[in-house]
Amino acid sequence: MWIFLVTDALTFGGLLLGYALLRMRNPDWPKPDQYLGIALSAFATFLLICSSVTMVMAQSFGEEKRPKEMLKYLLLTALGGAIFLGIQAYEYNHLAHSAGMSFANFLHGPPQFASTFFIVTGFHGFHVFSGVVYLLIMAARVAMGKYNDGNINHVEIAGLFWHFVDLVWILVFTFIYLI
Amino acid sequence: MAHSSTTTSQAHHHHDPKETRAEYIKIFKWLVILTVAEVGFVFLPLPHLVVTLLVVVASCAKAGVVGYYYMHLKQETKWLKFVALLPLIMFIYLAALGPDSSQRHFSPYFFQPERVLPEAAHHGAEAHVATETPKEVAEEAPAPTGNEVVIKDGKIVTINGAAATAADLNKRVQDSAPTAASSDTATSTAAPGAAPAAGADAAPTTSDAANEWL
Repeated sequence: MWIFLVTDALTFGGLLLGYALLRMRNPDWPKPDQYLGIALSAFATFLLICSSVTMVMAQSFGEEKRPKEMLKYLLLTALGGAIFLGIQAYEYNHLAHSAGMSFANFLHGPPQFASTFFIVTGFHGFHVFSGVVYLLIMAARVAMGKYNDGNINHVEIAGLFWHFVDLVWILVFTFIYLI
Repeated sequence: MAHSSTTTSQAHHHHDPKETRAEYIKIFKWLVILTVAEVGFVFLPLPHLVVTLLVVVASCAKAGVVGYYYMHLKQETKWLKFVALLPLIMFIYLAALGPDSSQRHFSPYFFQPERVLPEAAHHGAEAHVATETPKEVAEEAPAPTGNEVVIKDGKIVTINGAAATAADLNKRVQDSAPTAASSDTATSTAAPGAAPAAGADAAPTTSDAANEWL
């Protein structure tokens, strides 16, 4: 999983680098806080951090051979991810209507502002979605009692993916919304 | 999806689970503080570069903390730590290399007839953009109108019907250059088989004026 995460990190790195280069070259690029909602995204960041905490709690309970708490925290993690997706969907809808941002066009400035935003956050959102599905499958397996013996390697691996998703969002939030 | 074999499980037997959970909560508090600080920095009346630096440092700290404590990098071997750090190293390298290399527009092996033979540009000659070496291009590309350079076997044979060598072509380029520079290290001698079209191969030895055409 670490090897996959390294490759995934490089993919995100490439996307962010492309965004950086496009933004550097374009003097008409608007200030992000003019159009993007920082408050909502800051809350989304906080939510993903919380979901990382619940994930690591689930791992800890799993090692302690307490599958009921592990299941509870796994489901909480998946819930955090799902709420994050809901926030993203709301944000996309809001931006499309109020800021005129679509995948290929931006009414108030260079179209790359919108396209890079949607590509980077959309690619990340796809990771969140797959992560939620992955976590739900793991939760089902926990419920079936497959990890009652304390050998929770599979859960840890799922945790690695989820923490990676959180980590990437921390960086994406910084570069797209804050700078 | 490739799974690397995890080596983390054995380390936790020695730790009290309640303690580790308390540590996770402590890290969570730090993450919240760093998040609030990050967003706060944006609204401080500081110059943009300072704000950017503070924000990037805070976010890297957050990412590092998540990786080190939540992804259990702390308990992994130093090689895995290095593997995890690799994307950052590669990214820094790319970030330094990318913007720089995208500004490099010249190459002595990039045959651009409209730059070397200015009449070609005016007459709208098919600029046969070379991805192969100039020698190969010269042998198959039609000569642009205005100046006819006939090349055989990589050696210039005639220019506009008159017998000529690479030195003559270089001289023409220099003469048509906007700034006439001294031709001290000028035209390379027409070494056998070493005279690709446009005198591109002579770039290192021609004067600055000729270099402007490359």
